[in-house]
Amino acid sequence: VTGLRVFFVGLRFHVKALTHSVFFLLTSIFMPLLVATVAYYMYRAGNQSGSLLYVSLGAAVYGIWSSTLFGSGGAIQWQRWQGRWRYWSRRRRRSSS
Amino acid sequence: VATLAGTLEVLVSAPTPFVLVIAPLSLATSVIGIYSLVSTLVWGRLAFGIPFHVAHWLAFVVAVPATILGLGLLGFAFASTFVLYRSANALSNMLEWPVLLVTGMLVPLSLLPGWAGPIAWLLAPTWGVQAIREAALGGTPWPDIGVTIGLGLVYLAIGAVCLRHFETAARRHATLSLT
Repeated sequence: VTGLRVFFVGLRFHVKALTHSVFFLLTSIFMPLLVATVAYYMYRAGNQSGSLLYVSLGAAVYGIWSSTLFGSGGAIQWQRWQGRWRYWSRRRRRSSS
Repeated sequence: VATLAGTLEVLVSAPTPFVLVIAPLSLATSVIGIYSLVSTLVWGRLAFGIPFHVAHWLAFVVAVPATILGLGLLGFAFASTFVLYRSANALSNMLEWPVLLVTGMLVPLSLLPGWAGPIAWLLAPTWGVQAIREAALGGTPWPDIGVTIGLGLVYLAIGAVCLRHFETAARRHATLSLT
């Protein structure tokens, strides 16, 4: 139960922190829109109008993937830059000794 | 207060598993992906007039968080390997487009070469996007939702093992603060 609480409190905290970053939000929105636009034009050029929602949903999931990759790639680095990494590491070291 | 109460030692020696620290962060970035999901669908509607009709609303409402969970835990599995190397996050840039292509987000899997199939099956985005599409366009999304969540749990297990292993390795080589 405590583990779940830590998990969900952490999730809530990070979602709040990320939504305060305009840079992160713009990155999450701009690139998928660009990819979606290119995909729309490609599908239209191929005269597959019935598939536009198909590609729209694919581009939408790409948006989730893009922000996930950006976030997970920087997860450790961000903690290091914010000075939290060493505390976590120290805490784990104490517990294992 | 903790010292007086005798709980300080307990608090210090009760470690928070590192997986519970990194996994929410990775999952949170996926949750932010909802912004891009909504904006992409709105953009398609406003700029290209794409109607947004959902065949199975319940499945759609379940498929979106399931996909977010699957993708977030895949991100966690990647993040766990980044403990070991400082520049490993550059890998995340490299992985973006291959996964985009091989999971059929934009290009149908049937158009890809045969060898791409088994790779796609191991990736949660493949099943997640399939679940969302089948929920929206009509089909049987529930098996895809199940596979997405199942793969997410596998990624969680892999990520937890990697995180523990790489953290220990980084400490053993005294490179934790250098990585």
